Amino acid sequence: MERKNLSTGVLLPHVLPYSAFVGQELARLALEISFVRPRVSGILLSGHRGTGKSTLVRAFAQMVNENGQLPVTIPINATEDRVLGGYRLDALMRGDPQYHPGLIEQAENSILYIDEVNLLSDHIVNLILDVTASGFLNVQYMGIENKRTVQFTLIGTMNPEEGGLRPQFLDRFCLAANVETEKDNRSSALKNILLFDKAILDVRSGLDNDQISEWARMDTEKLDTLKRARYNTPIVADSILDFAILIVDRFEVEGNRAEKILIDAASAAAAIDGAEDVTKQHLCRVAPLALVHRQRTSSAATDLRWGSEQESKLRELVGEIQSV
Amino acid sequence: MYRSSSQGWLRTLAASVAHPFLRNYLILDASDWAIDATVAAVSRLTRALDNRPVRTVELASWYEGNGALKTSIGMYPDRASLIADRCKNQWCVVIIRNLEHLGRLGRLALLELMDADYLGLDEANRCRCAGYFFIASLNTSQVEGVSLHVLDRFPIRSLAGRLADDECEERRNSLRRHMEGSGVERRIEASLNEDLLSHLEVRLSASTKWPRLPGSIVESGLSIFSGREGVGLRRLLALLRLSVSLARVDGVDEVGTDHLAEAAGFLQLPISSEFRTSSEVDGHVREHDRRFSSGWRRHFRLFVRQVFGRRKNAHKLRANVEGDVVSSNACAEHYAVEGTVATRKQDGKPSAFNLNSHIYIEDMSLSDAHRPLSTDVRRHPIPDDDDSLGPRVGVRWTPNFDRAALLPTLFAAAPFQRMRHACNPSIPNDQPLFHVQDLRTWRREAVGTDFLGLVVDLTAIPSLARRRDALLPYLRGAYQRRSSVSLVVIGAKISDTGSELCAEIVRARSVLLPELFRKLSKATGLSTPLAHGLKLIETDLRQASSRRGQKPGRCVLVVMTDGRGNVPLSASINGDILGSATQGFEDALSVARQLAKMHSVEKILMYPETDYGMRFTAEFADALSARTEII
Repeated sequence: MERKNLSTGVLLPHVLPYSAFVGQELARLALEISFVRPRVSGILLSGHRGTGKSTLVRAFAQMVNENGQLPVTIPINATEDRVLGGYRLDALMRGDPQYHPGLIEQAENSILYIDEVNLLSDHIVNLILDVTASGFLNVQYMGIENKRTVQFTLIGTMNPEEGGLRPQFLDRFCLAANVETEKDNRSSALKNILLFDKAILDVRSGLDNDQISEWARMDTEKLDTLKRARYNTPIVADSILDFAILIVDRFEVEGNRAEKILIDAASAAAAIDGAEDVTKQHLCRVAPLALVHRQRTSSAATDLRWGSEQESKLRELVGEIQSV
Repeated sequence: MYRSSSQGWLRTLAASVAHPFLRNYLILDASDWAIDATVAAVSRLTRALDNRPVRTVELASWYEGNGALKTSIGMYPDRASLIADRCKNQWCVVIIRNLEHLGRLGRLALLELMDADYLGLDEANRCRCAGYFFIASLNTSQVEGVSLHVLDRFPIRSLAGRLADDECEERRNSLRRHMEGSGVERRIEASLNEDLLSHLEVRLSASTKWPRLPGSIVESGLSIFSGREGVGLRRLLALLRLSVSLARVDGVDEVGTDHLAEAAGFLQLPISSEFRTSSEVDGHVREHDRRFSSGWRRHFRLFVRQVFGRRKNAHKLRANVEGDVVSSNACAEHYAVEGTVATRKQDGKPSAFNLNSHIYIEDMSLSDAHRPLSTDVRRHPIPDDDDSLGPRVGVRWTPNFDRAALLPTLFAAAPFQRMRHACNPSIPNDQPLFHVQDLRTWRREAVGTDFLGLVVDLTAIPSLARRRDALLPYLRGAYQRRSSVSLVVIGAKISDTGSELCAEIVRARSVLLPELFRKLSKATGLSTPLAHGLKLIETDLRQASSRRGQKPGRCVLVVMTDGRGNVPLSASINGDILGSATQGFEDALSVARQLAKMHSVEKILMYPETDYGMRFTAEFADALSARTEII
């Protein structure tokens, strides 16, 4: 299949370009934060069928990867040697161990994507978690050892109808977002997808279509903004730290991981905005991403909605701080 | 959504083939003929679209994610992709019969294959096909075995077995209106509509430009989905894509409302929630009951009371069935896969609906069923013998009163009683009116008379892949011939029988039983109770080769071993562990000689080539008098 638009020379995208994706602002913010601050690794997108979770992740990866590559995807039926890497069995039998890299290594400095993460077997989940947490990949086989450091962004999508996630795994995701059908954006989202359909069909039929190059230009601009944000380190004032701790405390989230991620994510959001300081607005913006899956009610990720109750609680906190 | 007219069916197929994002087609309650007919039509249409050869690949539901499917999506990147290699530069029509039987891993692997096709990962995943077209069949009575995310990938679904609730009701109402007004006769003709198919082929090969999709049509599509919470955009996209593709098939420049309406008719929008509901109900009876509105239900109860009240007068029932009674169930649950619908006005009041002469029943269309098709794997016809039929898996129409099942027939006739009495005022209201089209019989899982016996010695061939690859041709043959299968596993690590001294046996009505594959995958133990395993299969072979009063089918015995049995028969049966290993080998030879006397059984010995001598294997092969194959 030829993936190049012959008339414009632009590479034909695999999926809808990121710039053409409409809505899902929270999920997009989560993905952008993970790109700007790679240490905020682990994004979970939860939503019903057909809400565009997988498309969004693929579109984002297509934008940030070289040559428009899609993310390295872990098949749900992947074996451990496929995920971690291993030794070629035929070579090993000849006494000539040849290391074969796994999907995790393929995702080095890129995105490791798990579609339907809740359906992945526990065994594989534990392996990935271990590598994500430690940053080390150590493959041992018959006394041969291959140890190396790996860095990747883990992104998972799931449909809560198919079941939840274990709390241990849930907590490993730095940010989580609920992806819902946005009624207001439905029409424009649909139109963009149909435009994309038409563009693909036109190109495949040998006809000209400039829409793809227009989206490619917008994608490049967006990527430049995100790359600039990587080198922008906004100042985090003590008052912001206190406010972050207050938020985490008021939302009854246990452990210290939440406030760390809250600050990091707010800093990334500020960097994307080009701000010099992290503000309360930045904190409030990323709070749903950092806290929604850490609340006690969302232990199995079956409901990651950030409702009006949580939003009003957040607003109250802002009011309290301002009055003080 | 299913349409009984071949025009609709073929048009949807053509639209599905034309659009690269719509090449997934699900047939509900399909017979083998329905799938084969679909494959035949798709093969012709794909060839018309892009003049490259078409190759069909059948994924047996016992794959469990192994084999061709798994390798094709890069599970084992070092191994060649079977599907891609087989279908290089060809159209690849992937057939999945009985989606509900596909194991979990198989389903997930299928999804990945579909994604790889959708995303165009040709290089990354070595999919070098011209294009995939997925055709799956699903038995709706066993739908709870299918995950929602699998169903969601098949937006276009045709209903071969029966009409969906909404449409059935809608069409009943429509027909009722026709009946009340001018008289209309409907005639359903059988066979693939060759003229239409040729016309569509020409259309597909000629049209290169995609029609314009006006904003008003998009808005109309959105309005169809308004109020549906949690549906997402996927179904809506399928609706609009199908509209566009239908317009392309028609060769017009712009998508019209007719195309949208037609596409909406074909897409069964609420099917996911329907399926979840149906998993909670118990079989057809409750499902039928749910279909009726309260008025119908009340009427139905009355009707059943009438029928059961006069069971003593069964001859009256027969008379009513055979009589020429006005029927309106042209839209009821018949099993036509396709057919053209013609209408003709009649003067005066409606007199009769005669559906007999031209109705097409999928399992009975022998002329069409034997038409040569391009399907690689073709199953034998379902035996038409009540005694050899398996458990009930659904309901189908029957022309034979003697074979009719009472309850499904009552269910089929109940909704039309009021109308039939209205059209036949001379017949008393308390007398139920049947038409021959009401006759239903149970649709049963077919069971062949053939038998496949497998004796697998895990200690001889520890590699699961080797075992599987060696057995694959025989399993495939068993699938095609609908053979019943007995699998004896020797030398498993932890035996279900609690002792490694015993062999284990699994008896399956068909090769589709997942348990068979699980047994084959067990870890290898230390002992080899070969004699016991042969003894177990001997019993089954004797039963299979001497069916009482019936012609015995083909019996095949496949023994996979190196012949080095080391557990005496007495140790396996009585737990007597004092016997020597040599005695175990002697016992195995003894049982093998008994099997050799069964001349009607075709015997195959598969053995591995080993470095430690073939003396035992050669002796065992002689004793068994089997054809030998080296693994």
